[in-house]
Amino acid sequence: MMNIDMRTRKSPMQKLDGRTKLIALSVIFVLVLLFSHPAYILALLGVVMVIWWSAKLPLQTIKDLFKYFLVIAVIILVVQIFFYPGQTELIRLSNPVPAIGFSGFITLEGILFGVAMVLRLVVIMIVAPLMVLTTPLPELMLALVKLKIPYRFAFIMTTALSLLPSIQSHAAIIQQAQLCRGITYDTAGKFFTKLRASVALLVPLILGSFRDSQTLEIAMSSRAFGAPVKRTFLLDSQFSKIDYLILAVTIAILVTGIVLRILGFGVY
Amino acid sequence: MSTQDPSNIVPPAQPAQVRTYKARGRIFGMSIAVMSIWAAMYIAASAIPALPVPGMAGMITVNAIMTAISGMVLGPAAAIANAAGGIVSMILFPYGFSAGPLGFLTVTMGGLVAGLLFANKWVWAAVFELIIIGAWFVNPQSWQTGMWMVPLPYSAIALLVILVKPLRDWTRRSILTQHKVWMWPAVFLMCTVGHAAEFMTTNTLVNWMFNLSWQYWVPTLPYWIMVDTVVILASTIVGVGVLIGLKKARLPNYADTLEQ
Amino acid sequence: MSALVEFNNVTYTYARSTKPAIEDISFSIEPGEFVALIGPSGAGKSTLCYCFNGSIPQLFNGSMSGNLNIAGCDPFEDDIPVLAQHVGLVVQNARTQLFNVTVIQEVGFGCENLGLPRPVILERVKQALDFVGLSGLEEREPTALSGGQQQRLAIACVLAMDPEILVLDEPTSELDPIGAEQVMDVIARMNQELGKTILLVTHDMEFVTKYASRVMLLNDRRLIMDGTPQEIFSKVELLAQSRIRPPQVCEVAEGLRQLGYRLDPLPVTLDDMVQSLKVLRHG
Repeated sequence: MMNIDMRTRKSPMQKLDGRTKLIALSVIFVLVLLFSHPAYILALLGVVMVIWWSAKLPLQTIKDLFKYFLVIAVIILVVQIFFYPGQTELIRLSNPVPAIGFSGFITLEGILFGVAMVLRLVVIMIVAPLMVLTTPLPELMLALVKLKIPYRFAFIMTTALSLLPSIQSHAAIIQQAQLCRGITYDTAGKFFTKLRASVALLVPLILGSFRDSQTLEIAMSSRAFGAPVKRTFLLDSQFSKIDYLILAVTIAILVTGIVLRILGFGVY
Repeated sequence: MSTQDPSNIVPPAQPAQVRTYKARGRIFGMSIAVMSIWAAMYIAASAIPALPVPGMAGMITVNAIMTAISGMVLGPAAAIANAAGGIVSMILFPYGFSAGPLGFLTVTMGGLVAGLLFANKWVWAAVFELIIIGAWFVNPQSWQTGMWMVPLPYSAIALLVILVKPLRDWTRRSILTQHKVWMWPAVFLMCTVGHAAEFMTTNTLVNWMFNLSWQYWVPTLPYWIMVDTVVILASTIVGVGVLIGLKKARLPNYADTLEQ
Repeated sequence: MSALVEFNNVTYTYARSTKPAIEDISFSIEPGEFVALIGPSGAGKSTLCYCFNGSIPQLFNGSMSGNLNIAGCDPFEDDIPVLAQHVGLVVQNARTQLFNVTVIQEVGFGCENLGLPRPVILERVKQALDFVGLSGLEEREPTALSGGQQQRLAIACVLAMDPEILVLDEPTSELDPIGAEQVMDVIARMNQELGKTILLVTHDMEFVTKYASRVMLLNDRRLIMDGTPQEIFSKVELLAQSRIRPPQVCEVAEGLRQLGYRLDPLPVTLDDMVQSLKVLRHG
């Protein structure tokens, strides 16, 4: 699990309104899917890295994240290099092999497109954590509600997150009990052992947690959850001048991006 | 002081007026509390790696099992609970989500299609299942050699369960009555619907995002069939256990709301 | 003075259950009373607590008969948020009723839902935290607090909504003696200093004799006894039938009574006992 304590550090990123961050990061996500040209995606990656740096987040987090996606990155790269229909032949490997759709050449276009897709993967993988690492949960919820996400849905998300430690300790107790009976969760264990262990964990975990749900429901409604009035939020945040500026720039970039894309730029 | 000895109580002259109540404040028959707890378990399960997946980001985590059974436990509300759990866990434990920030869509679809089917809103289940399969074929990539085979193994079975009335009715009935023997294959089919909706959405998203061609999809197909079979089998075991346990302990579950 | 709480022949049966959970319950509570509800587990104590704020019948499937009046509200008709402004319900397990990220969010949650203005909420949160002795922990995570602190936090959460009645379902059952003492102290002060009406479910008979003005005994779904601690704890046999052990002082006093000593009224606390014995010796 990623270290969420980092959000306590003060940085310009943390002073922004949650809505601004959500919108800006969503725009980056849309743009990186819109364009497939390596130069455009590289530029977007640059923007994300600048944000990452300004939020004073450690680069190690990106490295940790990338570990998980290394294999898919390699596969994306290999598939594109070998099978992307390019024209500029760089290296001739063999005669064409029509059975697997390989032309026999490694092409410049294939390499560039492969690089573009890997960069896209990197951007996609670090955009979402950027939001959470710079925004405390209550602020994130407020931003979602202010963006007209139903309060009940935002409530489910934050409540789930605050119930997580108790669920995890519940799971740990079950695992301890099962360890005594020879069911192990060793990650080095055999595949079916692990699967058996997961099955043995889930049934008691789900049943035990559902037992708590009625108490939780009573506790929630005892505190007027669902009262038919407009809810107050203890926390409030207003757009500052910087928020408006960033939003304006973001929207300008989005519009420019869409126009460029319609005109046929940025497509590989 | 008043002592109320049960034997001393005089029966009321007229039978007391008995009023029956149905629980209020529910969404699709489920309380916000249950959905929150499901989402919390979903996040916890996302932290447990189950299957390494060659190529696809990281690994399949235990939450795949939860998605597959969510429809039977929560009904259509599973879509909401899965979405909430999915959004949080893809931020905390991103290695289970190959579609990045859109990853929550996959688990939402899994809960939605199976939940709608279990609620007998099969027309809607069919609509969403067809959208999922359709989205795969809208991508020009999917017209390459052999790509038509990818949705076949499980999405096709799911579609059959949704559309063929005797099969659909038998599946739902066997699960609702908790038939000793037939419950197992029925839960297997329902898990198939849930899991197929999830992974087909993932496949479609990944294909759109990273432009993987048939040279990736077709050779890995046998492996995917193996993985999906294992996930669905594991989900069947968990699903049967959970459904029987919930009914026995009178805990909240969607089958209850159908009875009343 | 009219009664704050009135139960008239209330019976409740959970759906798919053949027996009622509580049967033919009638009692009334005056403002400012401190009522202890005792009884063996499974007697229906929690179910009775849930009736106070409309959780029963509104959150469960089931059937109910009888009449209820809680601070002028009808739990059959009025929504729980309306009742929640009159009745603060603290459920048994502190951990599951804390679901916010920070203590301040946790305490403010109820008032936020009621849509109160922000300054009012902040003031009430501050007062509630002061009262339960958790000031200074505003930014902590509720899950990081000790068991006793969590239970006091749960009390602060309903206290912030300023109800007249507080219903507490076994708030100390999972606590160590010191944590339990602190929680009980808060409950007693709510009654004495804030004039709240208290219904406390507990197994701690020493505490009952120390603070409660009235004891109700629930056994096997029915209200068996209702009276002052002296009255209740002198019925040693009836208590034994309900698997309730009276405070040791009462057991000793009852033993002395049977030996012919005249102890009247029955001493229920150690101080009473000493007084009574002094009277016996000199009188």
